[in-house]
Amino acid sequence: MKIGTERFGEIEIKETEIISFPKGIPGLDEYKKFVLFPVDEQDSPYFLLQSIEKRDLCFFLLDTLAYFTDYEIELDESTVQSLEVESPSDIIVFSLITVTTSLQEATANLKGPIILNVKKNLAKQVVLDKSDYLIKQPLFQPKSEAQQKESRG
Amino acid sequence: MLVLSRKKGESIIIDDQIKLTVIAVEGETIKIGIDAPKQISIHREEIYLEIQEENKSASTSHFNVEELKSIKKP
Repeated sequence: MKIGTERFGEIEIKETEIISFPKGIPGLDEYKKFVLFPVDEQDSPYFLLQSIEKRDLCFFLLDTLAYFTDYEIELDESTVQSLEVESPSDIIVFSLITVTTSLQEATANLKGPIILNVKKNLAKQVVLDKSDYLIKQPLFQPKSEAQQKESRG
Repeated sequence: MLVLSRKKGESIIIDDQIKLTVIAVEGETIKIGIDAPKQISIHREEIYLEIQEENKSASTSHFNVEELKSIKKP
């Protein structure tokens, strides 16, 4: 099927490539269907998540574990059930990247990762309440390791 | 909004399946215990609102994919 996008113009996508967010993305939750593209072919951790329902809605994503290698995440039962997860290998974890001033100052949301079940093409954003991960984790500034302190429970 | 007063140790039941219990009252802070089915997600509101705002900022971010290639990770 063809979709119109601001970034790529008209593109051809397969139904099997469509990723569904049953609950949408908080703050923009009327949009539930997206397609995922890598930014380039060479093993880059960057992806684009393009809405198929709104042509100028396109998120910049980071493959979190590829970039922040000691990032830890535990999925709660609610997520495992709603994404129909059968095995940990079904999952990829992404972070939404925000660029406000310059790309140098870009940040990734480590507190609210996007969890994608690649087998079922189902995704949702989860909130890691108990962690000390940042909503605005700098990507390119010094000291950009993900921080994890003792949780205060 | 339904407003109920509860003392420490007392509870509220929602929809026959969610139970809120006042565990402790310390000055202005209340510790609330929540029993709910596993499929229901529960969050502190202010975090959820912050995430929503950050998602909106992320959705209007301008990024140049070419520029990415020249940025070095420290």
